Amino acid sequence: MKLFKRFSFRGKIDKSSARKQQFIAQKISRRYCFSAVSLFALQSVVASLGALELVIPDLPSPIPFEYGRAIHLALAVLWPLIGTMGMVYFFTTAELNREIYSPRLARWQYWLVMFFSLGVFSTLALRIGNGREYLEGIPILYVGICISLILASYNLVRTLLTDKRNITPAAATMTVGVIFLMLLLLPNTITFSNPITDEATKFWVVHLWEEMAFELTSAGFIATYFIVSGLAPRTEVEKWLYLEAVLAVVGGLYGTGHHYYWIGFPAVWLVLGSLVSLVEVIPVGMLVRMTYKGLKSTKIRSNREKLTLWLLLSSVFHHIIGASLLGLFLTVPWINLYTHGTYITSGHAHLALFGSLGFAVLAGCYYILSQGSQPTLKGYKGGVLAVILLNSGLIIMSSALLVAGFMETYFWRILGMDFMQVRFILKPYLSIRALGGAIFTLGDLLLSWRIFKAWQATRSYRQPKI
Amino acid sequence: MIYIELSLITVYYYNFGKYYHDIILIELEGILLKLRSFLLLSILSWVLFVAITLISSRLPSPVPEQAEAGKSVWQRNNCVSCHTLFGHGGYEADDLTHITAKETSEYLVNYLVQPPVMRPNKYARHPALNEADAENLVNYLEFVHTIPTLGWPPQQEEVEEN
Repeated sequence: MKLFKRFSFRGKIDKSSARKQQFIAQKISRRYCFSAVSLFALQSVVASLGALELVIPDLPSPIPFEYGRAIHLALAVLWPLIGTMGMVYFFTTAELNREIYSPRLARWQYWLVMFFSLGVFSTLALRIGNGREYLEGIPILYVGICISLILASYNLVRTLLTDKRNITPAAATMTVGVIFLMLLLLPNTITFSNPITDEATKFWVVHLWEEMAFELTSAGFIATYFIVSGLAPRTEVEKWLYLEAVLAVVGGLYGTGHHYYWIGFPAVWLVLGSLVSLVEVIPVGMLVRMTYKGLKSTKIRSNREKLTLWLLLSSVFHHIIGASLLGLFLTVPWINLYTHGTYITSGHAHLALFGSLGFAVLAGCYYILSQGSQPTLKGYKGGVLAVILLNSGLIIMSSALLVAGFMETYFWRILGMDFMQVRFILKPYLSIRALGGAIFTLGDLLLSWRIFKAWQATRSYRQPKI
Repeated sequence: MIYIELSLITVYYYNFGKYYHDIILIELEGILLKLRSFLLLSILSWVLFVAITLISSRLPSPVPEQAEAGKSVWQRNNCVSCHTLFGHGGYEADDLTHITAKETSEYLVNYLVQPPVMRPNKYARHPALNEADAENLVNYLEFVHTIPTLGWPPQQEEVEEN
């Protein structure tokens, strides 16, 4: 029936906005999103304290800097993961218009991922860790997170297989994204004695989660958001989704080469990494095209949809400027030789990790948690202010880091000055970074508060009959 | 409006019903075909990628036992939060990939066992290690120095000339 309708009314808006039924999976996805937003609020506080510790000498702190940074990085990886799990369940049911295979598994998965994620943060606070950047927790805890991802993959695949004739591109893309999240984390639960393998597999999470797996889930989310809220016709949005997904997978995988340049890998990776990184930009362009198609529709949007769009547009903006263009500039081997391992990497990481992924997950979380209510005018204005604060904080912070990084490149790498001498010159820029971080934290707490309010207002919204 | 559209569909369906049915099937086939090629390409590139990464990560020489113990000291103490190896890690302290070419191992062990105050702090010292851990760690850093890094970091050449 769906195909019948689609064929005869090509170019018209899908009537899917009429669907208002809430599934059990959508109810469950709320707790994922709520936890993700809470962890995000915690993240900015941890990060601000760390930034302060770098500019104020002898700042007393219960957790030493090296473990504080580890918690910051663990949070940066895990809060988007938890939010994405919720988003994938919510938007898969919305897209397929049917319940997931097993809501019970989804509940178990939630408790598993939360238990092991909180385990990572608390063991790190107690100074127990495994000292691999971004994966500082002890390996057994990542096994637990892997199991919860296996549950998610199984649940999603079974959901798709219950009706094989009705597998939409957005749902398939999100499912493959979750399977890749699991596959890429799996090797990181093993301890390697070979330092090169260790470095390489680390980037399967640091690079491939962000540039491939999360890109697939985000593309699926953006497509479904436009289709389900009726902002854009299905045919327009879905047209190139599979091609985009294929390019994201192939480009993402071999683009990992730009992290393999100087870790003891053969020189062929210099060529492979820099050339395939060009391919990586294409799916981003297609994502932008899809978002533009959705924006162009003249349909009147509600304040809730507008706030989601502001978050989504921030994500797209940072995805183009911070992640893709700056990233592409840095993958040129002759430039990378000098910029590698300086604060430039840090600036780029903030723009790519939070800028493109974090904003997208926040958009999804806000949309899910405010399902069934509209923000008041004051609430909407507060939300927009929060988005502005987040964006300006992020840009100030990252620009300061980039300037510091270019100074490091010049004085340390090109002139060959001593590291500590250069370190003292950078202090003003690190102070500006801390200031940007403070603005960011303000926006973060304000947005979390708005999302919390929306969550509170919709708590009793349409309890599904079980 | 709805009536007109419905009647149009009816007329359309009566006239072209047979073809229309075929077109639905073709479209469905097309969607499944796209899905299948997406899955196939994903699996193929994933397998190939894992294979060439593993082949590329062969070491010039096997890791000595003491260096392996040193690696676990490096990880247990979260050195990577401030220092970098191969340029990956924290930004607060120097890169240690080729530190053993600059400093003697006695100096490094001594530095780790009796750590100095870190500027610009007045009191905070570098985290301390016991003698055995410090020796293992320096051994690990010596092993890391033997891994070829394709000319990175760039100031390395000047150091060697001096």
